Amino acid sequence: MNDLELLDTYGPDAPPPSDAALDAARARLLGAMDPATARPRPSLTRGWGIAVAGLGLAAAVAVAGVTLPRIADRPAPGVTATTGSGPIRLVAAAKPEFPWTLPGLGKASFTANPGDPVIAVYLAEDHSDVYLTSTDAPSKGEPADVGGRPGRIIEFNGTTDNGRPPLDLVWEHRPDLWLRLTGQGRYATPEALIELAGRVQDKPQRLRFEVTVGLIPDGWELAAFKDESILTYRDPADPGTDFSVQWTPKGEPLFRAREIEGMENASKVTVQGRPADLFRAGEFWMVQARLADGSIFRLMTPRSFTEEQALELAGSIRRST
Amino acid sequence: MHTADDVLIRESVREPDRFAPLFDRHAVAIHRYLARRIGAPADDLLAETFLIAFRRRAAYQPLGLEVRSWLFGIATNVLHRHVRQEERRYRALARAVAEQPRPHADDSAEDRVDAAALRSDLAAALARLKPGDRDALLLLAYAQLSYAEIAVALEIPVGTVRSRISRARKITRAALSLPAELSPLEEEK
Repeated sequence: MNDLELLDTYGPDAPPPSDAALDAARARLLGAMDPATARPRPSLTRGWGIAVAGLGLAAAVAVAGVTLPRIADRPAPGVTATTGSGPIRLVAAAKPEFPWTLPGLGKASFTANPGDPVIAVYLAEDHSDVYLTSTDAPSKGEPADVGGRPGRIIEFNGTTDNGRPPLDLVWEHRPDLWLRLTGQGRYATPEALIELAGRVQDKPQRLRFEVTVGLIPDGWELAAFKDESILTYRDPADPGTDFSVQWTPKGEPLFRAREIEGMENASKVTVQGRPADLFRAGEFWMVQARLADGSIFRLMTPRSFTEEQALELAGSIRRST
Repeated sequence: MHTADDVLIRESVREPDRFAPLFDRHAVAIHRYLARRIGAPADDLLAETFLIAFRRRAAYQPLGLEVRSWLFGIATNVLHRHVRQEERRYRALARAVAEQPRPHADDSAEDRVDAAALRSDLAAALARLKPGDRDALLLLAYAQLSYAEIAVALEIPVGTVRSRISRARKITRAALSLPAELSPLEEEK
């Protein structure tokens, strides 16, 4: 037996994972995939976590995220609360955008991982799907020329169900700005990808969600979204501090006070001229209100917001047009 | 049909549910690797490893790296925040075993049949290794990754892997009273 075999045989060992441990880890992963089915798990967010039974808002933070420029300018009244990075000042939120357009592939949908760039996804009936996103300069791959700009073709070491591997093209779209195109099916060739790259325009696309948030704390940014109906903004200086808005269609049941974990106080308030619920829990505020079309939104903010700021923010939420 | 790991990752960018089979395939192995290094906190770190992998799935590049190796690399990075805890565990194991009687202890490692003594020596040796050296050695010994796979998983040159493993093995062999010289075959295992 050599030293490696001795290490493997006699090195520190541990019992296999219990079923409970595996189930818990799997549940956390599934929760990140689909917050609607996630069980509340405080460990998924830092600071205020999830405490609303069955809501799963905080789990959504782990599902889809974006890196977008700061989008705030106009100060609004109500400047008293603080977070870990300083006082909260609500300002007008600009509409989030994806900076590029790829014409000819139909309407894009968008996804992202928390803190990572947004990916524009162009789906095709024949599964010749295309993804477009920003990335870092590549260190590997076959050199490619994209209209005189450097690029790399990166092969995918595997196959898809239709037997053809997707292909990546990473190229310098603008100086020090690298984009990645992933092509599948008929777009999984260097020629097709280079042709597609030539079509990419610096034309922003609006990221459309079911609701828009009109006010956000100064300096905060859109950090995650899921199914166009859950939005999370966070403080980049303190990424564990965030607020989330979940929209649901009309007809969905309203949360009742007894369903809120850590509940301290429930009160009736008015938001946008309609009756609404304000819940104060140990670690968060939750505002539950109806919009003009009868649909419902639920806003959860850290307790570091003042009650007035939570209500003011709720008052700025509108159905997207 | 058994879909390849890398295909599942690609598909999961658009359909997140496609990521779930990767957990079922690799969770036990990743947990064992974590648990051997850090003990009970492995339960939490397992979830953390797969959550990070899920969030980074769109950035996964299969160049020279199987999904299994990629996951071991993420698990190793997760462990970096717990280096002191890992080293404390090794020292505690070394002490605990060393305090037991060694009925068959001998100066020669080849003759040493006392597994407890081996465990003590190995734990003490692991505690002494530099964290980077230990990562490379344990990815080789526990996860059976090749030098090239370790290089990609840890994002370091393969030459660095070779020197780290060489350094780490020298220390563990000394702790086991094994000859210091390695055959080329052993070196490149």
